[in-house]
Amino acid sequence: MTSFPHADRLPAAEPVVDLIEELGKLPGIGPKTAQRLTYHLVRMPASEARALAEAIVAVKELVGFCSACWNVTDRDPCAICASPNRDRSLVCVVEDPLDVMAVERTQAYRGLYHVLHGVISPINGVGPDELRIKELLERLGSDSNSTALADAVRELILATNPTLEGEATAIYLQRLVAPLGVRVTRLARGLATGGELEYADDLTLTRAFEGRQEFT
Amino acid sequence: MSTPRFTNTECLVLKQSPIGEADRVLTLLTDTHGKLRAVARGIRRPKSRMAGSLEPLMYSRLMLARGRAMPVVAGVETIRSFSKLRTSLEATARALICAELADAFSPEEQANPSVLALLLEALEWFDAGEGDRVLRYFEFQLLQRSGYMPELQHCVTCRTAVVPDQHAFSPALGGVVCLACVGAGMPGAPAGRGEAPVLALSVNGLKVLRYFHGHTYGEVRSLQLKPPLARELESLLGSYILYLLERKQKAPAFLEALRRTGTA
Repeated sequence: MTSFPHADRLPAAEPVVDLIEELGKLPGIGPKTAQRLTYHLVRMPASEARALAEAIVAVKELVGFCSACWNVTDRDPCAICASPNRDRSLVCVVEDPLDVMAVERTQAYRGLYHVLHGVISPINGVGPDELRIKELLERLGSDSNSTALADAVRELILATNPTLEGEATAIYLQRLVAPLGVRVTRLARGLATGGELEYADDLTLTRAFEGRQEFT
Repeated sequence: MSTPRFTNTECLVLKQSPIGEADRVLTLLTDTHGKLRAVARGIRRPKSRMAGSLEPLMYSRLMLARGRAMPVVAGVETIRSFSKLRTSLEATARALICAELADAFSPEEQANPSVLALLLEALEWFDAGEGDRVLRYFEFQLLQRSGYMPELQHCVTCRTAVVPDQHAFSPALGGVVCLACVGAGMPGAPAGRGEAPVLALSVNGLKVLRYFHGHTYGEVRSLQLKPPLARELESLLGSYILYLLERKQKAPAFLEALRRTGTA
């Protein structure tokens, strides 16, 4: 907690100033937003404020990473990896735990995941060693060597974002995984639902044409 | 004179970083305003109309609106997407090295159209499948166009014409040094810079650097650069750039990783 030698010169009560300072450290929270949030919390019922504080503490104390897929979880292995109802022949590689949430919301995918926790970004100094790529190869190696055929990974779905870095990461992973005999696929890219052709950029349109499929 | 409300410019996106919930800050190298940063609002959303045209290494025509802290991208149209480059890991790695160097050597809001032209030319060659030779040519030309052209004809300490095979290179002094001066402890060098390490420079290395000066890449690409010579040039130019920038660039590490793992 910050200590102020001249508390009588503070713009507000010391706990308020402390909270504004702490909230301001969060990404995307500037000084004004931190002030608004702080005064909202001041007016909030004490029980709700206490619940928020306890939830924050719980996240730090109880949440870690799944040792299989590196998703954020409160148990190891995570609920998805531990579930007997998941298709263990499919592994979907994503950049971020938020991507797992996005895919799970669709309820269209029933396989497993692997979270890289980032993407190859040479200009930001992020290379393969900074991501969970080694762990992915170990997982594929151990899975493909498994004597239980049902546990073998047969398809790796590369679901990194369709950005320059996401594509570079996908190409890099494809090169590493192809010799292991695992089928490597990439999520379809092209026009977003609700988008308009005239506003699509060249790259998006090109990929949409390349990925066209039989329309029945 | 007040800043106009809207500005049109052609630019290459050097890099981008996320801010807020759905925005990005772009670092742009423009033809008219040099390097500048701009905010692209909402481009991280799936339905953003601008996202595809504002990816790194896209050459686009932008309309920038005057913003509070920095300009805001109000409209964009792709000029060149270098699509083949993006399907090659090595080409992408090399292109990002060039983008990072252009960023490092370009001061903010000081127009230098020749650097943008050089970077665009390099991306065209990477898009066409050219390799490391473009990188070396780019590094040399960038130094030249940024005012750091190395001295290649005369010793930087005694100013005598360089004798073939009797020379080294001093990053600190910015050019070739005759071996006589190296042996004599570099008399005449500015205080503090005479003690900086000098690098070996072969006759062929010097010839290639001289050829880079005043020739287009179309002419340079016919040069045969055997691996030892290629490594010498990479080391020498890299050391000079490191001395000037006083920090190691980040992008080359990925290309080195690709070479090390044999995936390059």
